[in-house]
Amino acid sequence: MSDVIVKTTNLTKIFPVKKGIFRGSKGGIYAVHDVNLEIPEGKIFGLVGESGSGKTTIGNLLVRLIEPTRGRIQLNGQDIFDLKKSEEIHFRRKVQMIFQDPYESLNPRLTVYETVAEPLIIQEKRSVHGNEKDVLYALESAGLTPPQDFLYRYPHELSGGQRQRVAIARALIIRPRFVVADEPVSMLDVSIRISVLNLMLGLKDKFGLTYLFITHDLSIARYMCDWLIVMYQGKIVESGSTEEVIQHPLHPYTSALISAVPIPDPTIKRRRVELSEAMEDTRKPPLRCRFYPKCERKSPMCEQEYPGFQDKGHTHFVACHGV
Amino acid sequence: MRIPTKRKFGLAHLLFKGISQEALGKIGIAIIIIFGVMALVSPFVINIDPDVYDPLIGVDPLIFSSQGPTLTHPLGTDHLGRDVFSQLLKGSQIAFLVGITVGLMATLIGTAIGLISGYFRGVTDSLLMRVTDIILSIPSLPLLIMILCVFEHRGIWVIVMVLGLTGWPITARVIRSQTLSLRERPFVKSARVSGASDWRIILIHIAPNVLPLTFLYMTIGVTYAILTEAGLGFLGFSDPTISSWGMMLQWCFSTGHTFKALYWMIPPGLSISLLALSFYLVGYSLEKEINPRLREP
Amino acid sequence: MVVLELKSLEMSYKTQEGTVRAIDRASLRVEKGDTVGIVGESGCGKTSIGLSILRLLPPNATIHGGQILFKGQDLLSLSEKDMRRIRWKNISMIFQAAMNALDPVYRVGDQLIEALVEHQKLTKKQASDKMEAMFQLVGLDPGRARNYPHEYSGGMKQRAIIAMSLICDPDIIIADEATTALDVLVQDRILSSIEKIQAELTMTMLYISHDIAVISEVCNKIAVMYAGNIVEHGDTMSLFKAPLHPYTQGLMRSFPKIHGKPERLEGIPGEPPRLTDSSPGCKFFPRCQQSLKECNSIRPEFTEIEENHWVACHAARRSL
Repeated sequence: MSDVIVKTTNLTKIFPVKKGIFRGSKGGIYAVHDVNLEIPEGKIFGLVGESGSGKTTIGNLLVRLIEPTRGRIQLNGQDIFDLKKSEEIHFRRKVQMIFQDPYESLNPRLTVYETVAEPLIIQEKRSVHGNEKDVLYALESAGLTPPQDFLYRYPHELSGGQRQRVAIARALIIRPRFVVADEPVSMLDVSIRISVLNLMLGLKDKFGLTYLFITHDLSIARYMCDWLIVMYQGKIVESGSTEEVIQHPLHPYTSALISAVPIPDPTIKRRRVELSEAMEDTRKPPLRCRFYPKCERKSPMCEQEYPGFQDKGHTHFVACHGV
Repeated sequence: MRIPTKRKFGLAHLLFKGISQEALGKIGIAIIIIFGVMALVSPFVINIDPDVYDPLIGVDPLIFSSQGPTLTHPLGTDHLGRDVFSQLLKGSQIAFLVGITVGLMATLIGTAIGLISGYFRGVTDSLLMRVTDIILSIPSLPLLIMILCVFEHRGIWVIVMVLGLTGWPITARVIRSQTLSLRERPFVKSARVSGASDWRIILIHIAPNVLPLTFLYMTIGVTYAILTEAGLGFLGFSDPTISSWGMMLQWCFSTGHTFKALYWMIPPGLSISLLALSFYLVGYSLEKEINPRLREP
Repeated sequence: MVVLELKSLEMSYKTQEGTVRAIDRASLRVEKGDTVGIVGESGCGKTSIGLSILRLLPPNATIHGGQILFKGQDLLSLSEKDMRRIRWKNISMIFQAAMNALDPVYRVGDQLIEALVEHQKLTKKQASDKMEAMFQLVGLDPGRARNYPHEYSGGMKQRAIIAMSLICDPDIIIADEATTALDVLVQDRILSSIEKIQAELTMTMLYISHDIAVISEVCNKIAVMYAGNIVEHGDTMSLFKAPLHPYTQGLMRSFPKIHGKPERLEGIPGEPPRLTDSSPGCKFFPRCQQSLKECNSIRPEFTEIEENHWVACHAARRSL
């Protein structure tokens, strides 16, 4: 069993909704509520959900871009929000992020060299010059060959796939342990996606990385991830090894998601999912199951209390009364 | 292994491209160059014969009133027999000095405040923006006139200081708005995730991306300064020891030569309009290049 | 009956970096009742085809070759005035961010009613009834007609736009990335609405998308585009069973599947094409693993290799 590298306990993030004349907070949106994760080293954890599920918020929390309202996040046993200033920079060395938009994640006024060298400059207090060797190695590892050709190019001279590779080179140049990838290929052309995904898989083995792979695309999640966590409106509804969850989904939301994926095979006629349009108000704390308005299997108990996690065989967990 | 050299993509390249693509921009630059040459040539003209050509004290011994253009005085003389052309050249110097100094001051202050306000937000932002509002609500021309009257000192540098210290609010507002949106862009978030300090982010990531906008607002600041100083001069509140274009108009007007000595009245008036316009045209032609660039270069 | 036909259409954009051949001799046929999909990646020209048919191109674009035949009439020869009469009435469109086309200050139902009264010359009562029927057709609750656009979710707005596009009983609808920005469950609803329209109205559609899975569900015929060329065209079944063009084959290998055995995919090597590149041969050559000697210098002709299956590829022709 691998060591747990990242652990969250009761992680909660409520975004305040400003109301009233004096703009005081009156409640908020429960973007993430009571999320408990344990990500073992060397694995690719998939965080799957639609917009509003809270998956991006969790990504931002794990890299300390935002602070949680409640709960803890631990990296190798150490609470990441309880760090002294000097320890903070060490944290930044171990955790990196790859963003969704390749067109926005690179500073348009910096060359590829400056962008990729920056983490080194910050972490190791180097000067701007003299980092060519490290940058070239990072670019080559990210599949940009020959790397010299890319050194002094500007982002607007590169294609989407190339920019994303630059972003990957930048994220890996300081040898992080844990990388959060937030929809890394959803804005890339289809023919490029596979090569970038395969690159990420290769780099995981080469550098011994652990990934949190955030996506709304279940097919890609299945391709990449060892373990899937399905989120709905701020809560984890199902969690388990990828094949378990995909082949035997237990939560009605997971089943709906899987059934809704279009199948590129004209001989198979997929049934339409037709979920109810009713939505739960995420400004209220989850006192009942969030999926209640849409669920076809609901029972009175579902409205009274939020379902806790049930262990369905150590590699499969689900939060649902109807299982 | 040959490592290629860095290519130009800086502000200079941007400006050059913007101006050269727009006909109006070229006209603007041309006018600025003409006046620039005039400003540079000024001391040489004076040195031809300082007793005659000094804009303030040089008097033609043969002339005792305002006379029309002649060979020795291409634009004629003013009511004291001073050479108008020499005054005009000196006025160019003043206009550039005042314009660019005020432009630089207002832009630097405005950009700095805009960056800090927009990046740090919260209490800092509220405070700075209230100060901005206060300065914005003070009408600079009456304020200047008041200061000049109260202190009975009509120095050109007082004018420059006041204009510079009151002309920054709009730039601050615009830069703040730009900063607010830039700080949310993924490349800024990425820098933060890598451990960049706030100042590093402001100086390396945000400032260069607002620089084109800064430059645009500087051209507006220069225009504003030239016109305001000229207005002050015409009203008689500018520095009387300096033959700025505004003062030239004031002398022409107060000695009753308006419309009677066109060779005296038109050159400074025309110069004020043209120089102000030229900076505006440069700004206008840059805007096309700058605005889409800010979104997606 | 052929509703729409493109014959060797050629269109270019003038940009700062040079002339971009957005559409390079594209030929396509859409018969009544067909839903023809155009699948390709960004920059392949698929959106340009939609805009060209509707003659809504930006000023720096010129159509300099070929014909666009709509019910036998060449649209390229029409004046702007005549074109305006055809747009939306005979050929209507649904674009990606179309949900923003709803006027935020009017109720959604009223916008549909107004359009019906204006264009179909119905009375208010008739329009109101028709509006309700259209809401039901696209899967919207008619009770929500009194809401404003901001009270609708993204998926609902998109369905309202689809309803708007049906108002004038058009002969053909052009949909460009109609479900791209939406979550998968919402997308499923939209596809449901589209299916209903196809079934109940026998609607003819041109469906443009980069998502081959969606296209395979919605379309009975597919045209594959690459760098401005239509490289393969045929009915969905035969294209999936035996794709002939190496790019089509590569695309099939680029979609991870949710069902079946998990497998490693290869995708397509190389980078998407630079559209200012004007090399004489096949545009796919740099990435092709089946290329022959002539592929680099001679442009492959778009020919009918099997019945109703067209391909532009030297290697494909050789192998058959």
